[in-house]
Amino acid sequence: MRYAIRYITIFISLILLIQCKKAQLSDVEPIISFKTDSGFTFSDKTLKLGDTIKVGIIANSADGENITLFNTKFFAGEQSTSVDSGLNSSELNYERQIIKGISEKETWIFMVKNKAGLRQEISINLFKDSTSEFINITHIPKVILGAQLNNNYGTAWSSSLDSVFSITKAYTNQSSIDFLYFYDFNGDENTISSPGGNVDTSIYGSTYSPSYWSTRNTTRFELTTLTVQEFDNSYNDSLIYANTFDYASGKRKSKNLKTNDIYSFVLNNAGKKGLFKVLSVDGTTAGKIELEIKIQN
Amino acid sequence: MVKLFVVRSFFYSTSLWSVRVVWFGSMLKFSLFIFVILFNILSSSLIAQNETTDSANYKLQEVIVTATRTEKLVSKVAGNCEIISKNEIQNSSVNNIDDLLKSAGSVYVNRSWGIFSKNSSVTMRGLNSSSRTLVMLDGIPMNKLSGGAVNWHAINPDDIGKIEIVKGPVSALYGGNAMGGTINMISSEPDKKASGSIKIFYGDHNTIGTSLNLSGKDSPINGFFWNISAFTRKGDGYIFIPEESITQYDKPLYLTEYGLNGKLGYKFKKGSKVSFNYHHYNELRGSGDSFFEKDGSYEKIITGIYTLNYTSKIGKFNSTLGAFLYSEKYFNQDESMNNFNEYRLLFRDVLKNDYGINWTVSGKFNEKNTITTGFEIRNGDVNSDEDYKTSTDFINYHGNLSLYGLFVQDDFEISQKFNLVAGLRVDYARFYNGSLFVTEPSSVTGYEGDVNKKFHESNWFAYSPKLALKYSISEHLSSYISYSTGFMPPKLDDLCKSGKINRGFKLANPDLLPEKLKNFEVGANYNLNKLSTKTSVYYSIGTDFQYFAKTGEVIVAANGEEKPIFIRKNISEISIKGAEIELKYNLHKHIQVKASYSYNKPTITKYNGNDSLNDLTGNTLLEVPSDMFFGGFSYLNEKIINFDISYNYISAQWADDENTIELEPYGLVNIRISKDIKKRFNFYIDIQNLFNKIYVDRKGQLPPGRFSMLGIKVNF
Repeated sequence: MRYAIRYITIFISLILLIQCKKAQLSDVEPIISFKTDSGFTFSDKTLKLGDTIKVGIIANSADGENITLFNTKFFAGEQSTSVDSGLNSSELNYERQIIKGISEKETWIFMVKNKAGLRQEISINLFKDSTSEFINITHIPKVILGAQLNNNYGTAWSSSLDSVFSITKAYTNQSSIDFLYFYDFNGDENTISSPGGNVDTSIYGSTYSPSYWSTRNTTRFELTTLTVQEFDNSYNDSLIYANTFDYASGKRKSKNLKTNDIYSFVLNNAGKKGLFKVLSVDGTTAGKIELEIKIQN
Repeated sequence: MVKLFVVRSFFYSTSLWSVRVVWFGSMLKFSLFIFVILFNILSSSLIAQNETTDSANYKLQEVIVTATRTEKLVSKVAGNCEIISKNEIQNSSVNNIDDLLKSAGSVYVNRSWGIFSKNSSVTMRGLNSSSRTLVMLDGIPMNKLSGGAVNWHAINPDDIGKIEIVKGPVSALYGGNAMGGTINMISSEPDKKASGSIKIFYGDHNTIGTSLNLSGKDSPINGFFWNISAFTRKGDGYIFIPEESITQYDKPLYLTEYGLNGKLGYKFKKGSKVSFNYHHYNELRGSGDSFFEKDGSYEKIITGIYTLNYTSKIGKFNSTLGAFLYSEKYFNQDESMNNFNEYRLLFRDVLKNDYGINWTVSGKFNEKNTITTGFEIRNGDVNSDEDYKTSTDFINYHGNLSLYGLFVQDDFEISQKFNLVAGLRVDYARFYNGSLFVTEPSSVTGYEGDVNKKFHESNWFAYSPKLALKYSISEHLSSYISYSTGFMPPKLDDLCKSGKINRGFKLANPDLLPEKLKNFEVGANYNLNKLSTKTSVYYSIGTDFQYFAKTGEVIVAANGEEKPIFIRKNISEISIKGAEIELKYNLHKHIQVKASYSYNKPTITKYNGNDSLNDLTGNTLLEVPSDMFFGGFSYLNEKIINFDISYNYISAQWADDENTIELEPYGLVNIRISKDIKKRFNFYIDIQNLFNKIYVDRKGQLPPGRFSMLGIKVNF
């Protein structure tokens, strides 16, 4: 036993060396603020319908725990949405465009939360200019587009000409084409794409494929949660405004379309806004799709 | 059917071995199964006429307590039991206590990442899930009522003096979890006035560890006995992803752990004994990935086990009174990135407590009857916080489960050759204080809005009868026939936890009932002085087995995909056909040979999951290998060298309930070579998975491969 004390001392030293560390989280709150640079909106503002503003957010951990959540909440009347973005950083730099919708008052709340669960938030209110008016829209009850191998219906639609073109005719009217319909056998199935939507050359062949066009409009799409009844009852651009999106965040294709899907779209370079509803779809490479479209005048 | 194949480059060193393994498995499957049956039938007539009266020095007869709650020779038990002795524990090439159980037939140890495994599951007799096998430490249940699993890491092999294994259901004595069998680890008792040892070892993946043991008997004053032990282990770990798939986010499964054990007891002059035992265990284990956090995803567990035992004589009866508190504080930091490159960080904080008391009285009621009776109270509670750092979600669930058991058993000696064991245990269970709170949920957790739910109380009874007849044909040969039952209580995690699962969303079900198992068995034990064999054939019927059933509702995932909502229910029945044979042969005073083989075929015979596309009827239970073989050779000679080699074969098994993914069979060879010098120093080398066999586990992850460890132990 005379060695015991010596061994115990060595042993306890080893334990201390490799002990599991304890997680101690800082209680310092993160900091968040609006960007006040030129071109950014950082206080409450009155806007006309469809006006666009730019908002910038900067946040940092203030030597506390890293920021792990950036949350954006949007309130407009009874409607609200919340979007979480996960991160793990001591700093946050965020910019976005906001388009004034139809509500009298819209509130945007930006919140950061750090790893210790401490939160900070800022908000901005956007009021509707009382001189704003809804504008009547163009209603196109039915547009029939054929898929890539359909010989009876054209595959491309032009909003400015309100016409449907075959792919060969579309090739000669490139600058007017906004929608293309095709059936993607690699999983996306029934697809409405913009010409600038990176359409694979296997869809339309090597001669007239949009990949070879010199001018490709980029329409962007976003799926809405609108009901058919809401779509059918809309007679001015209020519903379009309420469901539009930031052009940069939209997708260049609307995929896997099925009957009664309702998409919001914005034409090339943040042009006119609109909605389309799928009336019917016949999903083959020689099939067709029927759309009902409502678009700003 | 999809098969998970090991990366081709790993095969070059192991292909020959694989061929042998496959051949070996298929041959054994048929020949040994038939042998087991024939052995049972013929042993009575043939061997009885050729009794061997070999009286060498070896006695393979060992005393077991777990089988009957009284001391009894293994050969006298009406069932299949096995003992792993202190010698076997000390001379095996194992790093964790559960590794030792591989030598017992019908015990499947799933520890695919070696010492870096987060969880190790030990299952028996064709059943999967750790919660269907009762594991005890000095008679205290180690299966937590929250989830049923056992933290094998918390037990230092150096603290264990003996492991008793009882195969088949034992709920008639022990209540919940004792369905496939019962494993009781019995801690060492000091046998010298004062002794101690210290051990230091180093191995692959920069694994380093130490252990210390000090103990005393009748010191400082007569009657006292004490033991203090501690261990530490730390390793850099390895990456469990195939090399060609490793990304910048995959990190090694690192490990840091330490444990402390203290035991203090006093033996009274009249044979009574009181002892207090405390185990502390602290572990930190990497989960294999890291995105932004320095330590990446990891689990940290702090375990404390307190036990108090008092044994005494009440007249001619032995009385054992025990109390325990088993507390586990679990913390998990979970980092992940989904297919949409969305980062997630989650902290899970779970406190689990199991505590209870038990009292057993046993003794000869008269010349013919040995009565064992007693009661047990077992409580469990769980309180879990899930704090989603990258979203606003916060989830808390809580629940309590209490089990009250009364049991009685009579071991009736009908004649010198016949013994009848009849027993019954009644358990009453109560689930209460169940609650679920969810605040600010998002699509990450799948809840539609805040939840503030208190679950209603529920309760049930479980009746566990047992009837067994033992026929001692001769001094060396005996056979038995038995009917036994087992049950598994529902887990607190299923009673009060809702949340996302891989396939959709799971709802808590406070009305879950226990799973039940009936077992019909015949077996025989044959013991000569140097040879011991045990065989058994059994058929089990399981009812009220729990599986997920669709509710018919769906939730919409973050990507817009609709996913079904499930609820765990008692909707399934199973059957198990099985056989096992074990052999121990003391070839020479320095040499022992051990072998065991088991065959199990568990089939789902009924499934009512409200899912016509996914009917599991006729499928095999997942994670149950049909064939297992263990072969071991030990040469122990303090003057020359100690050598232990073992081979463990695990046949193919299904990785999913639907039986679409089959895992390949594998065989592993482990060795230990050690040398004693003047009884003070012991140098040893352990090599696990000698031939570097690489196989894929259920989640497609790889084992560490060959793992070597060098160590020195100093006794003082």
